[in-house]
Amino acid sequence: MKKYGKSLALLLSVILCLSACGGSSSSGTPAASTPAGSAPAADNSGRALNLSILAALTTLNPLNSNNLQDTMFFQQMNSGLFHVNEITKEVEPRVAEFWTISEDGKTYTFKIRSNAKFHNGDPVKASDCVWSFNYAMGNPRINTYYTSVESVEAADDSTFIMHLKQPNGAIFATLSNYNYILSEREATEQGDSFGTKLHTASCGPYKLTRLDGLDSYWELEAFEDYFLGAPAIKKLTYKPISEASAGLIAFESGELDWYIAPIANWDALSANQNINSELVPANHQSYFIINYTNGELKDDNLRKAIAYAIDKDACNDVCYSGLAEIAKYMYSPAYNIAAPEHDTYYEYNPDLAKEYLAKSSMPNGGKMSGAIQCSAGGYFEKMAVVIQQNLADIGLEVEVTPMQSATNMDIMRKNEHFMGVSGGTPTGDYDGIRSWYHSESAGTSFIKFNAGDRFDSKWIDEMLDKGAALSDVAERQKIYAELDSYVMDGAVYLPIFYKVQPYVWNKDLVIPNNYPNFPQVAEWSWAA
Amino acid sequence: MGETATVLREEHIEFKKPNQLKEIWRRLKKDKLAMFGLIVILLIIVMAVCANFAADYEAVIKLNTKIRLQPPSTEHLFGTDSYGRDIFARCLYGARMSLAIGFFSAVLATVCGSLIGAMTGYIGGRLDSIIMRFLDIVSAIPSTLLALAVVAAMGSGVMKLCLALSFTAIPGFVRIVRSAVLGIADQEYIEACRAGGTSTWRILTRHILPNAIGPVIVQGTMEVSTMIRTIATLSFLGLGINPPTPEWGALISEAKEFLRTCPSMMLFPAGMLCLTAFSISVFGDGLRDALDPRLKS
Amino acid sequence: MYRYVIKRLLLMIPVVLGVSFIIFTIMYFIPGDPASNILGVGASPEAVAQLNEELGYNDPFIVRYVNYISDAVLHLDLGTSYQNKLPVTGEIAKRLPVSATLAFGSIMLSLLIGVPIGVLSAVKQYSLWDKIPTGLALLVAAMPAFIIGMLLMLVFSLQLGILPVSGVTQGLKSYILPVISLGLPYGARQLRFTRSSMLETIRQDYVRTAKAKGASQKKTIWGHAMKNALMPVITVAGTSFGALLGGAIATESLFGLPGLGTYISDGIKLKDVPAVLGGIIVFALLFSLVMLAVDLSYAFVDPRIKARYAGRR
Repeated sequence: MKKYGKSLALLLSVILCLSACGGSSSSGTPAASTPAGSAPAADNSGRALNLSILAALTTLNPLNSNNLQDTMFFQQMNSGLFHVNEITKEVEPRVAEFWTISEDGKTYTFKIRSNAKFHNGDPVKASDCVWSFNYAMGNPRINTYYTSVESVEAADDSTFIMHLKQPNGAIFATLSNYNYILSEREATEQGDSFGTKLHTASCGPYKLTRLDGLDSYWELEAFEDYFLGAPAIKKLTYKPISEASAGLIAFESGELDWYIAPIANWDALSANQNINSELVPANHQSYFIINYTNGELKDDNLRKAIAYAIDKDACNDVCYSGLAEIAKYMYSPAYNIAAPEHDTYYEYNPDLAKEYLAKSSMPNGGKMSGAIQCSAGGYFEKMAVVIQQNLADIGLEVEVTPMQSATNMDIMRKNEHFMGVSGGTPTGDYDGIRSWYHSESAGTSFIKFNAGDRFDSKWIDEMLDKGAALSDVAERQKIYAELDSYVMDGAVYLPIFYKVQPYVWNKDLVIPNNYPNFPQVAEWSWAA
Repeated sequence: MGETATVLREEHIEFKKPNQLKEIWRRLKKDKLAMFGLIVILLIIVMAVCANFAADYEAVIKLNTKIRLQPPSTEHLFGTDSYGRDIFARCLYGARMSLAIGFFSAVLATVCGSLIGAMTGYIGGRLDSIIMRFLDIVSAIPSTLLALAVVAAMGSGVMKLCLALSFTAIPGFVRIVRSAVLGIADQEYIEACRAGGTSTWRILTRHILPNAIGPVIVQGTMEVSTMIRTIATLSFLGLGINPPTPEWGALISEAKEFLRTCPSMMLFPAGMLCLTAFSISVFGDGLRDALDPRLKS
Repeated sequence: MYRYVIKRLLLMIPVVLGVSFIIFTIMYFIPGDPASNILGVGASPEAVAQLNEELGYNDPFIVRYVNYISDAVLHLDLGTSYQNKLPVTGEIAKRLPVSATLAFGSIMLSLLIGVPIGVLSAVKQYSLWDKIPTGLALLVAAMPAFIIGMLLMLVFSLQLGILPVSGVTQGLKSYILPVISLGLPYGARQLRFTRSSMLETIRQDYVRTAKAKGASQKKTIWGHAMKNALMPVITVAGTSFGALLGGAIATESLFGLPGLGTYISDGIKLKDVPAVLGGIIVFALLFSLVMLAVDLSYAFVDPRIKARYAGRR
């Protein structure tokens, strides 16, 4: 007995020693030992800013991805010819110092800054812009944003010309996050492996200096030759954390300086005096999809019954603790140029829903032939469950089938789904709805308007082109209002809410603007 | 020494006879912890079966966002979840699904695994090689990943999940039984049986398997809780049973987001899961001791 | 003995082929084609069709499988990930040390906890030395590892602020929490097996004989009984180690460890066939090697089994 007691004690002390060693070796890293808020009085000038995104990078080539998490990172490292400010909606010059637009609205001439340099030291030339634009236009991952660009050319080293197929008032917004300029020399030198390893072919405010794989850790340094002046914070570190609750703990324990917090913890975070927090409405809509080509959903009255049965407030409560904004329209007029407001929208009205149901092909309700599908695990699944109950309330019985994201997307893109939940990030201009509504983007959207005779898809295409050709916002809005209410009346896309970004950041960190989608770290600084 | 061993074993292989069962029961009754486990399991099974009497199924799925994330109260014994649903009702009905999945997959895996393990260990030779190679193939695929892939390919469903889970657990049983058998098969009394002309089947079922029963029961009871937890892990990774059907793992996964803001949402389903797994295990341990005649004093 | 090892090594070939075939078949049935996956939302149907053709997606099932295997065997090329275009071989090589560290640490911890306490509780059966650890072990074993992980995070990272939550940037320190959250349930498992195997052994006649002959308790337990009780202990440790190399998905994803398990499970989610197949083939190879090591260790523990191995050609 005694002997075992002894060996147990020995074991315990070994474990204690081990954990103590683990603890004592920790104090080396400044990031880990500085809890959020309790800032050391020391000077912050050399302090690294620790950031995180929710997933591993899929690539380092900014022209090869339209992934939201990737873009959050690309924005710090890369720069385009121009950038549309997400809050003011103003077009800001970047690599291009200024530009002129021809009278017919089809030729854009950009003057390249003389002091624009790539991270590898090469000056940015018009030929690099030509290469980058041509590369993007040939890459199916992002060329959907370039559909109205006819061709590009370099008049001389500092003059870049872009020709459009037809005038397009939305071109700046559409290309805003996808017109990054890359060094032709370096990108072609790296060839096929470009995007998979460390490169210096970008010209944004931060330069990549260390890359531990695309999925583990990466470091950036302020680019001293950045054409708008080197950013104030000199060093950034990034690591992907896919588990939001772990990410929040990392932020609270000081491992991260900034985070998009899980909404469930917002009350405690916004009350916490030791951190900064701001709830910013995102330019992102969550919506319900009813595939009008499938089974009993061909019936207009049934779709409208469903539309009126959905309790958007309940969706908001369950998915976003009631903090999101209820959506009337697919594109939020607050954040998207020319996005119209009109009278065709659906509000929760169970009585009206029952009236429509009585007129439909399923007057007594019952079990529906398909299911509500969504990608598993996130708030889309919660929304599907809420809507399932909303439909049960009017007598419609339907399954919810959460799936792995790739499978879900594949079925939806082939338009083989019945009903579903999804979400999307607009470009900042109503013209971006093209990728949902236009018949040519049928492979990417979840509803094919040209699949039956319910919708006049030709007319939809025409209206989209008509709106894009105009530059006057009020006129565009008028056209878009007509288009949007026509589609909305069909009750196929039902906007539910615009989500919010629960930003939290370190007290020492000064952030002048919290943008709805993409943070601009170059604007940030450490408190003096 | 060989002779004594034979006599000893002959005694206990007859454990299936009624008076032996009584004897086992008598020994089991003495083990208080095991009895506690048994009572808890029975209680939970009764609760699961009689869930309808305690709460309406309506309470399991009906949402009411005005009463989201409430702590326990007299109206909602375990509080409410993020949809405003009653957690008590969900735990109760969740017991049905979790126990059904756990028991069914574990029993399936135990029976198949033990039979294959005993056979391959005892007979050896080519059969052993072939079966072990095939099981090597199956066990060389991580079970959670196999279940993930199967769910991705076929879509989720209770039956499919059960089959995929028990399939992945079989090699574990085979290895454990086989290694126990390898240790026994060479012992003198088995050789004596073999020399005496006892049939292979009889040796297997009467002499070999009973001797491996300890590890099998331990593994089998562990497996029930493993299965329940694997489903929970699948739910954690986003692929469990379709909502809104309650199942403990799904309840736990839904609660992880609210661990800090509404801990009761995690506490009750996790507590029930732990209590069940705990009870099954202590009962398994007790049964194992009771089955072992060498404890007879 | 050497012939046995060589034979077992050769037998790994059909295992790996079998594993790759099963997974290839399952992946075949997951809906979706690689090109729409690679090209993403904006792709035109023509571009998708063309890339699918280039990737050989339109070839018959068997042709695709044979092509894949011949590339893997002849050129040691496991292909390129659809998702990030990185060679699968390199990605796996990078992730393996992470998984191995996690698995090794967890199993070591599980042995440290499980074996001594398991032996103790077997020797002192029915005493408090038995009941308390066994009861605790059963409770811990009942908790999913991700719950233990989250609780550890709350205590050690948030409250005490001494251990990192995510990633591997702080070296071995990054592994402490994940290792504990896996090591505890596996330790509980190990404890139970050690206890039950030890109980089996100390009731065997030779142990009684040893005791009767007057050997000290310590010598009986550690010298005689332990050696024989080791087999199930090794089995459990070996299988667990093997399984953890690719199966610690929930823990890896919770703690943001870029290991093999998350690589494969992300691959399944995105239908990244080369990543999944490559990952599982490598896992299967390692797992078979670990199992071989387990079987060989039997021989060292038990001479009778050694004789059996040697007897087989």
